[in-house]
Amino acid sequence: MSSTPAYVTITGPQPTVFIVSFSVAASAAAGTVIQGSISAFGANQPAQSAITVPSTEVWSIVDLYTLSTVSPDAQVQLYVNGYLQNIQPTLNSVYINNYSKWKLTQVFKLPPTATWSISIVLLAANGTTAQTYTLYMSAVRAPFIPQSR
Amino acid sequence: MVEPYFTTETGAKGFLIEAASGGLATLTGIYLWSRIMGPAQQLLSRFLGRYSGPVTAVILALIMLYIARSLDGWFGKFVDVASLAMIGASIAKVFGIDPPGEVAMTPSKTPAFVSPWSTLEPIPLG
Repeated sequence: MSSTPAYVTITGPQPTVFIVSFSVAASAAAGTVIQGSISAFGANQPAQSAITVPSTEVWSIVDLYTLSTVSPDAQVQLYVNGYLQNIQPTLNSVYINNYSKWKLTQVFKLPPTATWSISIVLLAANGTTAQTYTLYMSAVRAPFIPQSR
Repeated sequence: MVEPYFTTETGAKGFLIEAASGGLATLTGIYLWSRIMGPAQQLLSRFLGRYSGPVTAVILALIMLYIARSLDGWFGKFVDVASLAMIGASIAKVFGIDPPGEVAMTPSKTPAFVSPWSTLEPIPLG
């Protein structure tokens, strides 16, 4: 019997939440683009400005939400492999307590090895105090199984 | 009066040789045929569907027949009858008659269920 050191890896769909924070500088002008800092691999891994999906996994974004409204509002921009995706809600439209919250109609798939990042564009000038916005992304990490045929 | 096929012997001895040879050849043909059906079904069902077994058997039988016709003597005739038995059995198979001893076809590989989370298939959200 050979003893193999355990390498723990994903074995099935695993729900998770990615936390994206945006540092809004004091007196930031309208139209300022702020790159998000994404915590995708849990609190013990440093947040990164861009995340690469492991080659053995496929990620599915299920929902985007914020836990508080923000002012000034900002538009969310999701980039995958450098391409702007057609998911551009504003932060206040995904506020979790909205009666009619912005929703994804289907899951947004992040394929294996895709590198993605999130930016916001301020829709108005910020006040004199710096702020931090937080966007939450419900996602499902799953082992990637290529479809034959 | 039936013409003797396997032998020129006449009488009871001739009849016995005819019956034994003919029966053995037929059984050999059906035995070979039953061995072919399962693997052929497995290998070729993708291209030929449920007729892959019979079609393969008939093709092999025709090749055997061709070889048999070029052979002289008892063995050639034996192979000849065996291949005819294979063709006959294949025709019977197409009409749904399963001869005895057919190798059971192992179930073709059904694709295992793959969770849509693991693929790039879109998943609608309610």
